[in-house]
Amino acid sequence: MDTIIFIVLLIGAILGAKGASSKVVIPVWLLGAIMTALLFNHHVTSQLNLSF
Amino acid sequence: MTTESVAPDVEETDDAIQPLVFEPEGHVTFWNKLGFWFPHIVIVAYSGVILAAISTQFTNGEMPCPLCMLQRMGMILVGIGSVWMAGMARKGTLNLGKAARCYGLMILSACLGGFVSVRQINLHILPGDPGYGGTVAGLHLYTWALITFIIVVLYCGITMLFTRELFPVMPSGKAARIASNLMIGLFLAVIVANIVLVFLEEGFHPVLPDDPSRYELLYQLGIK
Repeated sequence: MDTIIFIVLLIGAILGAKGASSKVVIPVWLLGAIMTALLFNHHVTSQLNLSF
Repeated sequence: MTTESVAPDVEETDDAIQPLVFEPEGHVTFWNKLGFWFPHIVIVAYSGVILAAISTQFTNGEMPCPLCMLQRMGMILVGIGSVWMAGMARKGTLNLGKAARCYGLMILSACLGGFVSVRQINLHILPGDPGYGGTVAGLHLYTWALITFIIVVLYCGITMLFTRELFPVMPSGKAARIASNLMIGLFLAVIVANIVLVFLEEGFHPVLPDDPSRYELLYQLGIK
């Protein structure tokens, strides 16, 4: 999963560097961000015993 | 009978005469050229941070944990907003609306990365907990990561205040293009390095283990 996310981010960075259209860059960025957030959610396995 | 053309009645306020298009002819200032390098500085700075983390991985033998990798992803997501702004400025297609989108991507990415950093800080916040990995200048890498994400949000806020004044316009000349190419190339190379390293560490497993201790791919391929 991590490898795939980094590949998506590489594609986003290449498209960004080429100055591609918003219709392309933003969806790729969004895909990378959502995959990162889902992976983060997977790694949050327990509540912390902390009180805020 | 003649028809009279009527000019649209546009009130010449600041917003009316300066819509979301920047017209640089005759208006390019030193600050616009300086503004071109700001997104490059973000890219180079984050490339340096990630390279420093990679060097720690090899010099101290510290395997990056899943949350460390997620913070690197956050940094690269910030970099995508920045490299996109630089790319459009190089192409001459950047306008104020698109610049705002780039800042939006950077702020959202910094929030995502910062959220991961806060989680990792909280995991080790209790007294007596040694934290994960070594320290740099007294702070763990995930704490430094949070500081960089906060700096990104501050940077975006300040540069958005001066969006027109610092609107990025690429300086003319070959040297500027070469320097820009090198900085963007460094950023892309850092992402490629992360792809290789995380594949080495994760192998064909779906996700990284919580406390990685070896390069899984080498074991899966029977090299170790």
